[in-house]
Amino acid sequence: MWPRNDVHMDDGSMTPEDQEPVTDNDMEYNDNGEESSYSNGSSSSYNADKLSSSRPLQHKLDLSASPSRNNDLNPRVEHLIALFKDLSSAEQMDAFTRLLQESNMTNIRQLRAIIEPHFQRDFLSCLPVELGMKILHNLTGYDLLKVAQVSKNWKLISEIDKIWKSLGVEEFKHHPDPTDRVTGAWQGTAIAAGVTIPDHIQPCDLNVHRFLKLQKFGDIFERAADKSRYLRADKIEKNWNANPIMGSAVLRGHEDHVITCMQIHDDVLVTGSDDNTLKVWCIDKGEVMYTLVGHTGGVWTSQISQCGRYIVSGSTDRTVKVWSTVDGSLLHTLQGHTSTVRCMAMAGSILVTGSRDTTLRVWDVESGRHLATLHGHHAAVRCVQFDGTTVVSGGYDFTVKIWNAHTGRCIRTLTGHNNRVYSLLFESERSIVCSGSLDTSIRVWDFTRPEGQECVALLQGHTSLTSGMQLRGNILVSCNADSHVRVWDIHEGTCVHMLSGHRSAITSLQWFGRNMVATSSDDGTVKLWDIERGALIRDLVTLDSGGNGGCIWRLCSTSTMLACAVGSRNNTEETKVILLDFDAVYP
Amino acid sequence: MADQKEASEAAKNREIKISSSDDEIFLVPRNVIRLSNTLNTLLVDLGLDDDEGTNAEPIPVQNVTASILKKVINWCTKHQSDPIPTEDSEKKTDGSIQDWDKKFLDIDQGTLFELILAANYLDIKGLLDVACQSVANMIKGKSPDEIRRAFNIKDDFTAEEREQIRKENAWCDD
Repeated sequence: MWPRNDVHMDDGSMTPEDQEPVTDNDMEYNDNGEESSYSNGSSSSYNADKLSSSRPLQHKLDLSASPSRNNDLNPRVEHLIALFKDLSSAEQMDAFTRLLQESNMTNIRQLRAIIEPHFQRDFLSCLPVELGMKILHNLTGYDLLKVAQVSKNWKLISEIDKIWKSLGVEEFKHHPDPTDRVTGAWQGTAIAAGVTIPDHIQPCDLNVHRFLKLQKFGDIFERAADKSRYLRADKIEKNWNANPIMGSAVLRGHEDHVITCMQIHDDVLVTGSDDNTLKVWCIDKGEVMYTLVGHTGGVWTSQISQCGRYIVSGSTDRTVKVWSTVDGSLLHTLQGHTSTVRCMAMAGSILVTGSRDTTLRVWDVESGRHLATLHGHHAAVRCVQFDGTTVVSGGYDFTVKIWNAHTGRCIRTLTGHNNRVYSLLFESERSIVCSGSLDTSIRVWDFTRPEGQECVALLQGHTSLTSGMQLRGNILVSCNADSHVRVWDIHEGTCVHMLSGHRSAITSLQWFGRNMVATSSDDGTVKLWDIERGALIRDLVTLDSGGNGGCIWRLCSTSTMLACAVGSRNNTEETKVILLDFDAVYP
Repeated sequence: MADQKEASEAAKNREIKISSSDDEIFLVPRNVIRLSNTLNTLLVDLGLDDDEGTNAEPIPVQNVTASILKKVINWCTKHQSDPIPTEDSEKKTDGSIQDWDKKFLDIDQGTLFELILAANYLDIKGLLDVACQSVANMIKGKSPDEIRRAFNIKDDFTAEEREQIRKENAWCDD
């Protein structure tokens, strides 16, 4: 398949290194002859190679008025070559050196053009494929794109799937297939009087983009699927970071009320509201599928199960309701809490709910059975996390509690905060809990440590309550009512970046890609940050009513889409969800 | 104990006779030869490790010329104390090459080409990895034209193919 250079050229002895060794060679070997001598065969192949590779150049030279035109006809040159062949290698080198001294620069330049290719090698075309791949494994995707433009052989070998698979970019293996997002609400845009999306594509270009969007699997995908996946992932990241926003939509619902909670599972978006209902939307089609009616009080918390089959909601009516995503029907009403259900967390089909009644309850949402009640908090339970076995809860009693969900026993009480706990993170693999409080601090706990010594880091710097956090490895990102985003190293207990730009409380945060964080705020804006550089990337949404009541309540995202719940406390901004599309097709 | 130490010392000092494809003879310490899985396996399989002296007949290394074999032995001598590479060694480096190896690999491309083939044939993983990395470093950051000049490669795309590739790459640039 790959053309091979059949002529073996041993030119190692011609390198400067052989004449001036870099290191002392103290190895002993038997020298059967002069070190740099050639066998007759080797010498012959050398000449053959020289002739074959220099002939095209010679042809080129013949086009000029070069004296070499007459080489083949000049008996003096033929005689000289015959003499040269009789010389030893050392004598030939001496002759070369002296001939160069007798040559003019024009000829020397021509000689360089003839000689240089002898020191070059088309590695990828000449090496076995597996060795060529070994070389390319060391390159980035960007360099591989250049390699594909070098020659036909280089293009073929550069598109071998295994090479692209081995690139370190994990994200491109996880994007779902390209989406539609051209129907329903997507037929319009979210740009409207009072709503600015600074980098949105011009409406006149939108139809072209929508047409191109339907060609989901292009030529590269057919030829080199993993290269195509890599390119799409790179494009999606650029779509977030820099490219014009190529699609947006407005989902209208919950008029005159607040969207209190929002979740995404695959293509399903669920919004809960203090209008007592939840709405289930199909993101790709840009339309509402169901309105879930049944609660007699505002909805304040909701979850979608990991399997995607159940929606669970908690309400001021003290009940928890389990709904089907298949048809929006009510499956169970879970009763037992004696006050507002304020927070919840799910693992599999097991649900944990936290309430203003100071308790947490454990339920099986498939059967609707109540499994356990967790007593211990002395004030409202405000936040909860659950891994299927261990429950972590934070409350208005300033404490964080660790529970065994099966036995209902409180394993540990983490004290240290001196005001209400508003947000929690739990990473069970490392037994790490992060808690954000109205006391302005964030505490990092390891509850496997001896009692009283669980707090491993105290993160200070924020000046109000922390509304959201996300943790990856040792990097924690927090957003706060003080209008700042902070990036922390929980191992060092230090603040790595403080991100300023919002003008009032930040309400929500989403971390996606490697280092991109989106935040929503009471100031009516959504901002995108690079948390590695500690810099604003760009504004994604800006409400004219920001500063006069218009605010962004919540954010939710997939790897290719951002949902922003918009509204106001004083009716200056209609309640809606703005969707932004960052997807791309497979090229 | 003394006997063990003496035997170990003898093994360390023992030399193996090998010959290149052009019949040049090299005496290489056993401890250096172990870096080549091909030769190491050969010695074990042939039972030559049971002997204490130098083998009478040289082991032929058919595909490698003397000048390249000398370089390979030089590299293995320098790296004879390196730990044995494992699967974890497959982890990507940042592409940097240590100074001694960098100087060692600062050779013309034809020699580097032969060195890669020799390292592959003799199954010397460390040398193969660093030689391939060296070629990759010649490619990094270069435009297609620069790459073609660096390796003396002819642009054999038709005008239509070139336009198609340009379009495909532009897809990612915008």
